[in-house]
Amino acid sequence: MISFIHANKKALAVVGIVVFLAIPLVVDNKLLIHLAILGMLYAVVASNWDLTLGYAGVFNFAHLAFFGIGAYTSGILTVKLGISPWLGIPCGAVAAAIASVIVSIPAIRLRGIYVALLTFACSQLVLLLLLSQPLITGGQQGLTGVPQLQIGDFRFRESKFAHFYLVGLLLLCSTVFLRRLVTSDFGLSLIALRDFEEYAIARGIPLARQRLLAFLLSSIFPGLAGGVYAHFLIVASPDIFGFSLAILLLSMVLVGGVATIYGPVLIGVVMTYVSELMASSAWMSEIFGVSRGPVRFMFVAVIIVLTMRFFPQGVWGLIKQYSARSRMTEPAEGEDRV
Amino acid sequence: MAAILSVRGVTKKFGELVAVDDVSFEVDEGEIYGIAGPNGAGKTSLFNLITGIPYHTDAGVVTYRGEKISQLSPHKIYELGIARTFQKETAFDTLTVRENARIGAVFGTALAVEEYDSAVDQALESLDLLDDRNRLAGELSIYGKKRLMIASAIVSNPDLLMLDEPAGGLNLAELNELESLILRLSHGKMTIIIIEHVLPLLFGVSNRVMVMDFGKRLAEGAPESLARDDTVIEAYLGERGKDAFHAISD
Repeated sequence: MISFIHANKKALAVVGIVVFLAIPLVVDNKLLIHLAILGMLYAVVASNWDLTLGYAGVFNFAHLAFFGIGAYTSGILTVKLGISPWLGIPCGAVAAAIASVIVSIPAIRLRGIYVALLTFACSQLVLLLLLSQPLITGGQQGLTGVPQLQIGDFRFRESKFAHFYLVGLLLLCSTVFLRRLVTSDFGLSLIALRDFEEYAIARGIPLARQRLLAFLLSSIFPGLAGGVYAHFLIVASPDIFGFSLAILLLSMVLVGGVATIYGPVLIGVVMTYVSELMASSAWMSEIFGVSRGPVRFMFVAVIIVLTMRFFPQGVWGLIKQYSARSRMTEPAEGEDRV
Repeated sequence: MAAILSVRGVTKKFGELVAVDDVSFEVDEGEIYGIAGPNGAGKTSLFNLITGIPYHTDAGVVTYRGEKISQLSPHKIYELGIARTFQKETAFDTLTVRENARIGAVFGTALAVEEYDSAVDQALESLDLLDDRNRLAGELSIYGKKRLMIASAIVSNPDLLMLDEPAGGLNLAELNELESLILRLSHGKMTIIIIEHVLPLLFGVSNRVMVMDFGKRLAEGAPESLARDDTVIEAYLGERGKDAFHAISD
């Protein structure tokens, strides 16, 4: 089975893409399609987070801010200045990239918990800035009236295919980009710095430059995803900067498997379904006797703890371990590591 | 012969402790220069000061081929052609052996992209690691990791190789292998500085040896003359040890 998968990687990828393209044709449930779109957007954000968190080993808690800055930049530009969303979205990515460089400059010289504190503070700073300017940003209520995506007279929200394929393409591009990055010499240098900083520097790796690049390169696709998110939901909400969403996305990286890229992509979609369906199903809250919102975050927290305790390598790590064992050979060249 | 590395009055303090105290020496092009001394003498600190990892000098100047390097970034120092190993066996554990060596080839070296693979294979070959190339470095033995560390240092063919106690924890057969490797690298025109506690190895390969104690340079000279030097014997064996040594050897 496993060897069959390895022998037919490309064919299986094509089959996977065809199946994916057929989903909206077969599935008629609007909620399921909606969640797939949301899940794929979160998968983009989570898998890019894996670059700094997993490969570079940097506790970057400003990552969700890149997503939020993308959403708000495109939202404000389209609502207040009336520019096209198709221009607003790339502007959001540029703004996220600039923010990532600003955050990374003080962060790259710090270690461990200090990086987490600094980056989290930066993310909260962005949130407070947004809340302090309600005339521009909509304040606590969020920025409403964000225009939906449109090509000519074709409105994206009126079709169940349009957002699905657009976001699917975004996820595909992001995943290919990330996989190429982490298997390149640049990816190698990030892992080397993570494994043994002094040794890596002693072999000519410029620490500051590589870490700054990791932040920058991990911010572009979340910036794009943020813009698409705002136009998809026609609102940019300060909830993006909240702890709840950060923990949900963190769970995607951890449960999916740190430093794998594919893990957060896969589990990103799965966790979105699990968490959103829990929020919308009545029986969970009846059992626990609390309102629906908190239950899913309790669930996410339990999942994180169980993962860290029993399989810290995550789902993708487990799959790879199992496949390596069943092949009974040494890992092939160019293959990524757990 | 011209000096490739010149160290002038280099000092490093940690609070009250003077780890390296006004040390000066020169290393000639193509020579094997040994550094000996008891534990805590400041040998590794001296290596750290020369390579800028993880700290720079408080006072004094290090020049390499006439260029001042004492406050340069560590990765820039590697770019100039100075590669070091660490005292403790050190590896990028989650990367394969081949990738570990590749790290030494890719960043800040004169190698072209198409030369990486052959340079890596050659370095692994010369340290007998070619068969292990697809294993994770974390799975290697101590000796394996030590060899890999040397492989990643010589893959870029540096002009100056600095080995920090390469023989620690090795058995006799491994020591002999290491000695012939060092001599082979030296014949390939590499200048080598080596810190070592295993004196037969150190005295066997070095053209000159410096002895350090309490952060200071105690003596310097040809290995055979140092072996008879009273201050050197005293540093290792103490006052009574020195008397005992003379009692035996006389």
